[in-house]
Amino acid sequence: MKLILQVIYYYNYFVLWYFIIICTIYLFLNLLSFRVIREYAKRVKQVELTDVFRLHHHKPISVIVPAYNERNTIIDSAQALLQLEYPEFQVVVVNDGSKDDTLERLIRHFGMKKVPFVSIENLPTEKIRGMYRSNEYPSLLVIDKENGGKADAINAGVNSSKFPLICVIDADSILERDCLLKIARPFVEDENVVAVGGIIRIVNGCDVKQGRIMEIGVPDTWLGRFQVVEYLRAFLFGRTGFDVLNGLIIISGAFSCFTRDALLMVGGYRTDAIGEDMELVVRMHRLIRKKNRRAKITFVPDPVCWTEAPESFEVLKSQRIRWQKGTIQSLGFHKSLFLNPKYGWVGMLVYPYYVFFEAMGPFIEITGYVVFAVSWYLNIINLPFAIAFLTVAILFGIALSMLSVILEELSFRKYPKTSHLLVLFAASVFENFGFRQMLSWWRFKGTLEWIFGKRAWGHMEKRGFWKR
Amino acid sequence: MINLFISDSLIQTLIFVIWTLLAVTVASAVYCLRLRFVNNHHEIKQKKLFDHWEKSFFDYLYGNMDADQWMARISSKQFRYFLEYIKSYLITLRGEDLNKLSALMRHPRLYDYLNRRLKRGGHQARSEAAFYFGLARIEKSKSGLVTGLKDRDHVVCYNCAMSLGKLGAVEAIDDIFIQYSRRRQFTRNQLMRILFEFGSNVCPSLLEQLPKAKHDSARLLIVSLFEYFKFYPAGPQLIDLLQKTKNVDLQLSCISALGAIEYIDALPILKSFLNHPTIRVRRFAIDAIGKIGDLDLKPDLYHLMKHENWWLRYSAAEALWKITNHDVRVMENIYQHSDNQYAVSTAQVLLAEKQMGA
Repeated sequence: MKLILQVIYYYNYFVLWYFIIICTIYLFLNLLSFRVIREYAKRVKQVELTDVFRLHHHKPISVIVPAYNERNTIIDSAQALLQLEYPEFQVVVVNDGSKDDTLERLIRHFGMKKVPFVSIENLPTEKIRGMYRSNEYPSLLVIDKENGGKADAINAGVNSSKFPLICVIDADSILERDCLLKIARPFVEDENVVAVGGIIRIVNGCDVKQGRIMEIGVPDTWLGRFQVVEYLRAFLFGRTGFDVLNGLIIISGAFSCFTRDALLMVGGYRTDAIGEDMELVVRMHRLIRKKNRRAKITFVPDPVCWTEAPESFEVLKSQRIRWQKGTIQSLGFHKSLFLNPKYGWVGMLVYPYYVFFEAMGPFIEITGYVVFAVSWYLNIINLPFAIAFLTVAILFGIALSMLSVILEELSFRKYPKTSHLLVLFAASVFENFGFRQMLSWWRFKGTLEWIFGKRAWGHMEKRGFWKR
Repeated sequence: MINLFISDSLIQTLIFVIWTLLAVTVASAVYCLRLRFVNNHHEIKQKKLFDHWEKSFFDYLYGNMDADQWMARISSKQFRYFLEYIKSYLITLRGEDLNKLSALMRHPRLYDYLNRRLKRGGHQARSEAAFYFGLARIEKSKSGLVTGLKDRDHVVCYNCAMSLGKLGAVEAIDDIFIQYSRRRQFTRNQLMRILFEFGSNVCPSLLEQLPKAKHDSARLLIVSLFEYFKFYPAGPQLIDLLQKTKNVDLQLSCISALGAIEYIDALPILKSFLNHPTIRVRRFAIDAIGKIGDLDLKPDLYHLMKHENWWLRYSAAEALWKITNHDVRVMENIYQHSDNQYAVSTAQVLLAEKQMGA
């Protein structure tokens, strides 16, 4: 009994210190992000993007769109992409062995013809069945291949795309018209930039027509609203903060841009990775920064990609379990980064942060709750202290979420109505009572599943906002 | 057990943290909402005034009303809104219409208002006044704007420089470059935006600035403007700079500018850059050669089509396509008879693209 009490006692203190450290890191990231984003917003106001590209030597972009069973969205998506604002770009749609008529629709709508297949690069992929071009839309290229998954489809796209920048987006994502200009800007301004990520926002609640956002809104359900706040917090604070340290180890797969050379140097996307987007970026840090210490992987808080968030518990659960497994796997693939000073902040701070607070975080949080309950049951806890501690934890969560909404409002003001702002403030408060704990529980499950060998992808079903 | 280690002071600290967090959160939310309400109120008032002015504004533009009559309708408290209202017209209208708008801005009441703000206002007011003087092309504001270049606030300095650009005050170029070299916040993109406002008339002054420029970033910008405005007289200086500089970005800009102005005398030096160790420099040299066009360089370009770097060989193929005047037979010949796989696939891609109209 004495040993158990001793363990509980030390574990309580461990959780307390764990909490203090994570709060310090968040506070630090917040302060960094606030400054950076406010400065960015001012800078953007002063210089027109089109002017930057008028005088700098722009780098043409190949936009790769992996598509699997996207019959409902693919035409609108391709059309919207072809209308993006950028001096020179091509759209490469890769039909990844769809079982529906995705390919036929593309061929029919854009008047595409089969042309001899030429592979420019040699990333290994599943068999290519054909390549299609259109007289009317010369900047559109369609690759038809056997099913091999998203990473494999992107690699096939890279093999056939011709421009020095590669932008990867999901087929059902909606890009703002000038987002290529914004995401390509770091590449033209700094030769050392090898990858850039943009901000992902949630399309649920917005009015979408033909691949364009007509009116921005907030989701109808609280589950959706909580995710809006969660995304704002993750992108505006987390990513921006780490970006200042050149320590970004995740760029969302829904919208990312790389230099072709960097992508080829690391061998393209790994087809066996669950979180292929994170794995690629961690690998880039490991391989590219070894050769070029000044290489940068950066984040721009402005080029917006709108994507659909799950609004059912089942789908959200499956998504979060998959993300957790992807994080653990990606970190596991590149252990040599851990506390390795050769990789700067990534090795010394960011990678350890992801190990201790992202990969192990849910485990510590859930066991912390259990130990807390046991301590209470055994009457070995100081109740006023426990209540005060819990209050601080919840208030800190609320403050972080509120600040991210405030930062959004002060810098970009995407949500036009005052009611949106109030809803987001309310979501910032309510998400701390159940939603966050639920996410931790799912991530904890993901960790357990990973440990006990259940490492498959899981299923992600979308409602399809495009159909509206 | 834990009880033993938790003192009252620790709990007190936590309670202090709770109150601080609560205060920060509530205060920020209130501040944010207040900003939103102020902004909404401003928008409502603005809309009301705009609707009111819209009805008679075109009467003024069509000459049914003079500047005095129009200005008599606006109280000095409404000037801020009026400037907002007129802004989009000042940006879009040109010619006679712009002159009529400028006449409103030159009206003593409004001019004095802006001048007062430029000289004695807060930084936001100074910055806005500088902006509107330029937008309305008010010549007599030039001296105030030149003084404003030395303003301690960077945004005011930037807006003064932008307005001087709109007014085509090339005599202020020296001062602008001095400010650029002195101010840390002054970015190259901002200088570019300013110089761009001057239009192509700025090029002769920039040609004088090029040897005086202290930093490569300024040289880089000047060369980019020569490229954009296709300023042919810059050719000899560009060649000179290209020969002297070791800065790769500057080399790239010079090569690109020489290509853009199609400077034939640059061909020998451009050819020497086809063997440059940096692939990007080689690619730019290929592009420039493609634009100037020299059939003697056909073998060099064909050789480069065999390079392992895709973007280099594709550029070589494009240049070959251009200098042979889009002769399909040249590419077909490479596609059918070349023994190099890289050259064959590049020719194939280019042919496929050109046949499909890319």
